[in-house]
Amino acid sequence: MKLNGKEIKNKNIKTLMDIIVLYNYDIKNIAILVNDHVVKKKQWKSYRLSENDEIEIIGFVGGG
Amino acid sequence: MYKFRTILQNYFTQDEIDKISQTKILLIGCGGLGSNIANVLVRTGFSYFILIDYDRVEIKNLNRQIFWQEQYGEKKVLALKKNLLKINSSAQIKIIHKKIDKEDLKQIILKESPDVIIEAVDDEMTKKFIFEITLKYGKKVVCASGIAGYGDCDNIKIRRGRNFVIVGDMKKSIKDYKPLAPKVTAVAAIQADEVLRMVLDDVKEKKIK
Repeated sequence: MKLNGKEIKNKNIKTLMDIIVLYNYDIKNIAILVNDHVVKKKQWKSYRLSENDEIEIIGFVGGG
Repeated sequence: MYKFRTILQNYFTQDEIDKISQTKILLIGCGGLGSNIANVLVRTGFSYFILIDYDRVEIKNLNRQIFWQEQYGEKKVLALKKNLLKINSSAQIKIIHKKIDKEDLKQIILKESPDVIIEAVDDEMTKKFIFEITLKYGKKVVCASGIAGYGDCDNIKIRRGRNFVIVGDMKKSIKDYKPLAPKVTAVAAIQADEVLRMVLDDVKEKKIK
């Protein structure tokens, strides 16, 4: 699978939450896309990833 | 009185001018990023805007926002509309003076059917829901993340995906750094450039078809 365009391999990654924890993302201000579709926060724990998934995690910091 | 369209003929083809001038822009946030983005876009020929902001012009905003001293206290949406019309008097500009929530945004997208949505707000959570909702509705969105500080414009990134772009250094929050004109204006200009790219890419694709 790909995270932000880079190939990642880790047998322990089963759900989106595994990635969030493993890569130390701050869950408060991120949005996640899997194969170009938005996955909402409440689904992150249960969302099962498969081998060919392309995941984009976008963090937002304040200021406009 | 000149027609703005004739100016554009110096820079774009007829197809490009048509596409640019027909593109409906929904601009959320009319502060540091938003006022600068709108200024750049109207000069580039965009002439169809919906401006959303709940704030009024404060004197401290003048460090980076395209407003004038005499506009102090005015609604930013109204002040910005007036400023844009000074550049192109035939621009069509709708204004919404409101702090919008998720439901408001959905309604506005359904009602106005914008071609491009620009996220130019302060708050992280608002940025996030604008990003998520616009993509859910299949719209194009140009966001900003990391616009504060100075001296590190080489860290400004353009992250492109299908239907979205994020511009900024992705790190520096206004919680820790000040929003200053040089970097804020740089990010705003890049956001505007990405809007132009998205719109002109569509023209190219149509030609290929």
